[in-house]
Amino acid sequence: MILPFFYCGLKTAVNDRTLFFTDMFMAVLFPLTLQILIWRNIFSADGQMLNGMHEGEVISYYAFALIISRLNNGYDLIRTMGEHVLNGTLDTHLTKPNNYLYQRFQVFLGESSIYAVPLLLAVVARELYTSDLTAIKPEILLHTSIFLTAIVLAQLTCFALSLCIALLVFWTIDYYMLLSFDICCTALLGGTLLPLAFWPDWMQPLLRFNPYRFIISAPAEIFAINNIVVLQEMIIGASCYLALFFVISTFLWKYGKNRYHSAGG
Amino acid sequence: MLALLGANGAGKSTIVKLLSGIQKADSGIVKTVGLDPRKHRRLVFSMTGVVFGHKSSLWWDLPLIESLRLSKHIYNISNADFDKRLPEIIERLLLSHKLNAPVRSLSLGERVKAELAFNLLYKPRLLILDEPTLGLDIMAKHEIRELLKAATRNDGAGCLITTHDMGDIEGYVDSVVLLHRGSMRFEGSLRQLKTLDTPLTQLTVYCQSITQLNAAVNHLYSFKKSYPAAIEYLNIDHTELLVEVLATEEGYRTIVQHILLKEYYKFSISPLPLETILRTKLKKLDET
Repeated sequence: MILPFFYCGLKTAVNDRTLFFTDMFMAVLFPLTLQILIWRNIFSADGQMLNGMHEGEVISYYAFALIISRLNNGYDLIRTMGEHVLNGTLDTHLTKPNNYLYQRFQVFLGESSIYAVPLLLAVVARELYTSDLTAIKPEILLHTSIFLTAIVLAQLTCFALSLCIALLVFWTIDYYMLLSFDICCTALLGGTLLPLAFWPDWMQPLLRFNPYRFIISAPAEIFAINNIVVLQEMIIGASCYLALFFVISTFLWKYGKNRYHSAGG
Repeated sequence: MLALLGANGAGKSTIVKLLSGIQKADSGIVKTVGLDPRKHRRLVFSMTGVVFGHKSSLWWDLPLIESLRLSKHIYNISNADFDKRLPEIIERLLLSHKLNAPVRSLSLGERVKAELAFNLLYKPRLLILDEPTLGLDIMAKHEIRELLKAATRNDGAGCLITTHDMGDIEGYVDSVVLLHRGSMRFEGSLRQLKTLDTPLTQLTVYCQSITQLNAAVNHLYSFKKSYPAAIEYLNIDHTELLVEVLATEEGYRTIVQHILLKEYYKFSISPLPLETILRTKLKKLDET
């Protein structure tokens, strides 16, 4: 097996499928229904377009943003690493010949992959709805490559950013504040609360170029409205962030390990 | 098999962490299986298994077999070797019926045994165990000790164990290192440790009533007053109505002859348990 920890992560997620369905209901379907009701009212009162977006585009954006926010979610990574460091169980992982961070990467991918299923279904549904599948085959190929590029970049950025946050646990006495920070940033900066176009102008640069955008909002915009400019921004932005997070996480891991002291018996 | 002994905070777990490369030594050189564990981590841990009694690396929500299968990939164990060794180890540790149970449903003893099985599957050259029997029942402790004994004898693995449980030591280890406040105070065989100071004998006096207990205590105290060097330690148990005395060779003979036999006390004589030897030794070290 090439990725044994990926398999363990995936199997854990499958075993815990109740959580998956609860998650899909509580964190996707329920908020999506609310958003649909709210935006239907807004659009019926205000006309056909708001901040350059149609009603269908806004709802499509929310559907993708909510599904992607479950797929690209560093919560478990931060929680698990927090527990390993603060409970001292990191000892058991540091005394194995494999690389702990690569192990975490595999587990992250494995646990996330189950959430790729609803995203895939949403993308297929969107393609069926918008494209003439019998006539425009090159377009479907293009959409598939765009989908793969965006999703791979978003997953990598999510892992790298969450890893940097998780590694801060070496300097804290509790990892809950790191989790809260990540949850707040995902909702506000990631664009699950409001699409980028609806924020005030002075906040646009922050929302456009922060790493959370490349994790949730940018791929959601790409899937919802096939925005190639956003894809270009994402390729450049996410690549730069990946390089930056690689340097930061290497530094944090190196110095964090030296700060790590678990108690004996 | 080498045992690291010492009170809490003596530095036993710190040595394990230094040997595992988890902690960096302030000074000196640390070598595990002949290599610096911080520089050659991958190589060192492909030959060294480390088991922490109170910490687990097993997959909590998955069946135990999944965690054990991971060892195949981590340590590059061939399928044939894995299929041969797994049943041997699992049967010896009485874990066969638990292979398909999620790790979270295992008892503490079963988890420690599973952790040990994980580390024995690839036949490590060195096995480091940090309090492996902590909190386990007598059966689990026995199974673990016997497996370690077999691993050191049959597979030729070296074993370093830190423990507070003297049952892990007697009959199992070849030599011991006694640590006190971060420094080594003794290194040698168990027999040498036992005879390091003046050999003591344990006398237990059993009384029928509290009156008899008080009389026995008075006798022993007046004897101790006359011969302070003869009695090392005296403990009165009012609930069980007994007195425990640690006395020198000459002291215990005199007590038996002149007090216990004369006054018709029931008593027993036994060699000093290792735990008592260690306790008196650590007490002395604390006082110096």
